[in-house]
Amino acid sequence: MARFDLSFPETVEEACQALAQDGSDGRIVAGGVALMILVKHGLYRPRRLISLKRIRGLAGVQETEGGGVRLGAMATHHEVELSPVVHRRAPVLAEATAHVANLRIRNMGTLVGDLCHADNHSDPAPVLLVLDARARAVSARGSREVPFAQFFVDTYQTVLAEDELLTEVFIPPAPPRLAGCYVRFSGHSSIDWPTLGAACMLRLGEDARVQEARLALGSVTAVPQRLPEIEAMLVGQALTADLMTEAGRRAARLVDPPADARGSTWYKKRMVEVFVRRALEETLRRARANGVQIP
Amino acid sequence: MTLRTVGQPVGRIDGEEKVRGEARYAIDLKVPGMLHGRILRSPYPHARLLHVDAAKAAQLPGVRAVLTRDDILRGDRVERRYGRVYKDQSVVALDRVRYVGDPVAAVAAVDRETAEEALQLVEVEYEELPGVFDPVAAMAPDAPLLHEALGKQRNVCSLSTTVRGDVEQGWRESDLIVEETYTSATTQHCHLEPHGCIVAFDPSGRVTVWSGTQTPYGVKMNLAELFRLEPERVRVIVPYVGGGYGAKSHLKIEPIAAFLAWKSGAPVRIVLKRQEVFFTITKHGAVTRMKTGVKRDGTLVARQVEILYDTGAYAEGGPLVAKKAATLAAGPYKLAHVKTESYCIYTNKPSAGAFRGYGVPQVALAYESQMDRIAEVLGMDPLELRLKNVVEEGSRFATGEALHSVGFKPLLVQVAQAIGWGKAEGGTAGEKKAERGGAGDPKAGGTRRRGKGLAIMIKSSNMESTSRCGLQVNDDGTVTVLTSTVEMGQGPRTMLAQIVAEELALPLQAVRVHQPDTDVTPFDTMTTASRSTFFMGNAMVRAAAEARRQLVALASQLLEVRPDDLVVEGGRVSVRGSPDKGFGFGDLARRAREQGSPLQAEGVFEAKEPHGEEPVSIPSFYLVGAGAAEVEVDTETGQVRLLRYVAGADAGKALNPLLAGGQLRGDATIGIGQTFFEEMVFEGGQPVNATFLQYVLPSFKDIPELFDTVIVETPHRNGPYGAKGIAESTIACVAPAVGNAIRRAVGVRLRDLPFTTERVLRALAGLQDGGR
Amino acid sequence: MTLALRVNGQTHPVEVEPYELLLDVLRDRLNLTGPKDGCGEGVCGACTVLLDGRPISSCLLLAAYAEGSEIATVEGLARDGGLHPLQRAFIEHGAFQCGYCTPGMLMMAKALLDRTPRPSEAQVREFMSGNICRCTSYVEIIQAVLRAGDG
Ligand SMILES: Cc1cc2nc3c(=O)[nH]c(=O)nc-3n(C[C@H](O)[C@H](O)[C@H](O)COP(=O)(O)OP(=O)(O)OC[C@H]3O[C@@H](n4cnc5c(N)ncnc54)[C@H](O)[C@@H]3O)c2cc1C
Ligand code: FES
Ligand code: FES
Repeated sequence: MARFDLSFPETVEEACQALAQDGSDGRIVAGGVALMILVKHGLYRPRRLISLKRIRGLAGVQETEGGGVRLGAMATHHEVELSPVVHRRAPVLAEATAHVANLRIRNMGTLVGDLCHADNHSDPAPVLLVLDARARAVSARGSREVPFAQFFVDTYQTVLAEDELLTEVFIPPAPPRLAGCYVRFSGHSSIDWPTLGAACMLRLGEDARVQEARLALGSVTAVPQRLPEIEAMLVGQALTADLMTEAGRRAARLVDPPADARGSTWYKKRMVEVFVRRALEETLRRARANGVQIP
Repeated sequence: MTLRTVGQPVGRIDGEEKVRGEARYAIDLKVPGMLHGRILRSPYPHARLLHVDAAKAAQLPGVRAVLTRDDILRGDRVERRYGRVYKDQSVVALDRVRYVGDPVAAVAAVDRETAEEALQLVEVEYEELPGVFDPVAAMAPDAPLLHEALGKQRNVCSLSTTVRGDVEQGWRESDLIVEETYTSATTQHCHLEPHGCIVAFDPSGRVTVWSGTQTPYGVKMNLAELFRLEPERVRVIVPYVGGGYGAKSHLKIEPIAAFLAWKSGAPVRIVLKRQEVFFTITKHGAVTRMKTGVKRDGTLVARQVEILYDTGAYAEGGPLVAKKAATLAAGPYKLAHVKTESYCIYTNKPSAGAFRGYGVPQVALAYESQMDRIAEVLGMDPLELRLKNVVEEGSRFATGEALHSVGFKPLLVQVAQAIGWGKAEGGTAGEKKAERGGAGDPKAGGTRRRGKGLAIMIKSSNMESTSRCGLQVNDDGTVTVLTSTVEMGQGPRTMLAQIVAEELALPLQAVRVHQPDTDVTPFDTMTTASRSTFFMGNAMVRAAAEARRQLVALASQLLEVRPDDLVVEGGRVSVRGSPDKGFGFGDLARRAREQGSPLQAEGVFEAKEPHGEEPVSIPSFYLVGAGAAEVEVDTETGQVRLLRYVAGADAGKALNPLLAGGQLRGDATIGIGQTFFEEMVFEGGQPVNATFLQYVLPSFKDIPELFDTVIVETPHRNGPYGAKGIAESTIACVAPAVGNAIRRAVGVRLRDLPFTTERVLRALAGLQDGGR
Repeated sequence: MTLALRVNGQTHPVEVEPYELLLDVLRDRLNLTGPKDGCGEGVCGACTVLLDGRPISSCLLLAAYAEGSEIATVEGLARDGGLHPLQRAFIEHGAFQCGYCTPGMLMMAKALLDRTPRPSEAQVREFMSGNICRCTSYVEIIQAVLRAGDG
């Protein structure tokens, strides 16, 4: 390992102070999974890491008033995956985190660390987009809330400033009758990172028409993306097989995925087409299972 | 003869050590005062070395030695170049680097961090040269050359040919001629234990090497030659090896560790990082062109094969792989006319060498896919076509020799039966159609189609090699086996202990197997080519028989009874019918020692390749393997699910069915990875996935839910108890069996490995593979 | 920094550098070479140890993070000299060859059985799916874990 210092502030304020003092020499470490790999490969040579591990109040998952969810910065993927609150209030997030890496990494890596690392292959990121989630960023200068729709700037780059740290993620209460799913495709082995992830949430009316649609894609674009055009096209419509197929086709036209070892641009576009449709089909299936009558 | 221990599914004798976490591997070893070595590697695939200066690195506190080309060029410690086949490699690069990862310098320091920091301080100036990254391009007249100084034209490292009959005549005699090209990707062994070694020079100039190598005597001889030492001055000790599959044969990192140890005067340990393992050795990517002539009734007449093995920057063992493949490339079929040309081609990529299967998977993909193609064109059942043409006892092989112990027919029949060949999936009519190469079974539902496929393969073991072993009876009545066969998981320790237990009628626990140590354990050519059961097993049978003779002779002398009237049983030699009249092995051992002739026996088994006009049957053996797959293809994504797989082999005699089954399935599992996704990807010579985060290996989730084995036993006349090697029987069958199954499921023929989801989808979409 | 690490029920005071990872501390300082380094990036699971019963990749865990937790390595699996049922089942079913993945596999399997004493085959595959074995076909490992789960 390369040599670096490690500090364990005990409050958010101390951590902010440390970040402010260290400037570009300091960096937050949460689970350390992503960081240690960077350090081992010599891609990043830290001087000082500021650990969130001993800060009380950053742990765990809580239900907020009104039925939303608060995820602390030190909540691991596996805690989120198992959390009864998440299962009740945002089950799609549990579904996505269950796909992350392997159990060991899910026991070590935090959800927030995954988001701050901003690898575009993140599984949870597109789900947070369809959940309309927000992040709280704190620094010695103050605190602000950032919706995830604005959080990702580029692959491995977020809106967080050098002196900011993310303390928690809020998921607003879900409107009734919202059904959703996360579908994930790895072309190689299912233990690999995703080639594509699609998150979908639909609110279906009594008449089975789409009242609200939220769709997001991960892995195929530089940052995870909502698909407002597809969402708009679905609202007010009955979800027929033709409509879902058309949604997939149009979605494929909207993205221009970079080619890499997991597939060419052509292939990834085809997968967008297939999996947007499959995500809609699966969401519809779940909505039905939850009692929505489809004429 | 009834056998008691041999042939039984006994657990491994190294089992307890391994489950307790107490088994020591090279990376676990420590030697007092040892330093940590690290290697500086080229970031360019092809470049001239203008300047290498390690002075600053040498001055860093904690650094004890640096190694650059100056040490090699100025001193006379080592030969400038070495190599198993061609001397085209040097300990660190001298004038040029030829692949990303080529060692340029090395340091030894008191800890890993310091060594790492020192590497940053080595100053190197490169002048980039144009590179060449695939074997076809490398043979073009204007391609950049890698080893022109060695007189290597068109980057041809080696060419081996096999000719039998006259293929031109064969084409004339054929009713149908099929010609296709198949390609296989470069892959990596991915043994979980990285290469690791410790080297120490002692003041007298003796060298001790602890290395996780498959070839202790190979390392000893080659290192001695490289360092201009008498071989007696090099001692190689091999602990447990955490997987090898060919990657840990002959010199790998030992020369660098040795040089650093010599220069620093302290023991030096090098353990590679995973990424460096990908740079150290690979499996050959290959382009195989195959042309086959066949009669209307399905009789194969002639086959011509040209293989270009992408051997990377240095010859390594590549030419030996290609040479063997030249004899095997036409497959296990009766063919009157065969011509094979097998090239090793230099490219600016890591060197390729031995990998489980040894060049056969690359050609079996072609010949087994082509068998199905022929069956399809002729309207024959692929199983029938194979049974009609496959070699059997006494068949003349492409090499001209008469084959022995090749039970392909019973094997094929049983493997086909195990996969339910000819039977519809769930008894539906859809599969029947699929069986004839139709559109597949629509019953699989929606966008999914199912199909089944078969494949077989043949591979030879070492033709010429020697195994020696020793055996001594200890005072406590136990037996110690001295062997240089390396335990890397394939189970030779258990196999050898079983043989000794069998021959001396001992419980397995009474046999201890010494770890390879060239100062103690006798010569063995190497642990490769699935040869140990046959070669070392034979040597062991002989040593045990000799020990038994000595035990009986001594007891006969002491008891004054004719040897014929003695029985060996339960660790005792006693008079037939009166078990209490006799001696325990321990007693006999003590008495023998007191008499000045300790109970020690040796066994030797040697095979020489027959040289002469008309080759006869070789004294060595052939591996005989088969596979059958059932797949389900998602026609929307190209994803292929392997529903069921059967891995089969002719073992001659399975000395331990538990371990044999493990070999067949484990071998096939690497095949599964290489079939579906394993590939080292390069962009302009830069490896882009040389880590486990990117290079995906088959997991619990990638193996079929039904994964069976079939073992047939056609005893080999020279094998111990009729046994021969099996550990490379099944890997080569997976890709063609799956490819054939895909063809029967959805009607597309895949010719390029790996069969990624994208390639399947492109084939379904009728598109050309436009690259990535 | 000085850490008090509790490993296999015993507390060891160890002097470590802040950048040191748990795997290196276990192997180099405490001489527990059961956990292995296979990839160093959290993929293969050769370095699996349990932290308060939860499997983690010790190749990526800062050693300081392990303070205050119970660390369990393969060396602590056998009790009073007797093998753990998983260890016996691994030998009987041929669940390893080279054995390099085995310390990690065993700890992963232990975490599973502690949580789900009688897992189904599908549960075994899912739970263990992040541990790589290059020698076996996994079939034997699944059989062994199921067997040990039978009690
Ligand atoms: C083998 C493997 C497979 C993986 N597979 C997947 C997968 O399939 N899907 C998937 O989504 N992910 C996958 N990952 C990524 C994994 O989920 C993340 O690496 C992990 O969650 C990062 O969390 P961490 O707590 O370890 O982050 P750390 O490594 O501690 O930090 C990561 C980055 O985020 C910053 N950071 C962390 N916390 C904060 C904070 N509160 N405020 C500000 N900055 C912060 C750090 O400074 C650092 O730059 C995989 C990782 C591995 C090793
Ligand atoms: S070594 Fe830790 S997961 Fe591979
Ligand atoms: S037994 Fe060798 S890696 Fe699993």
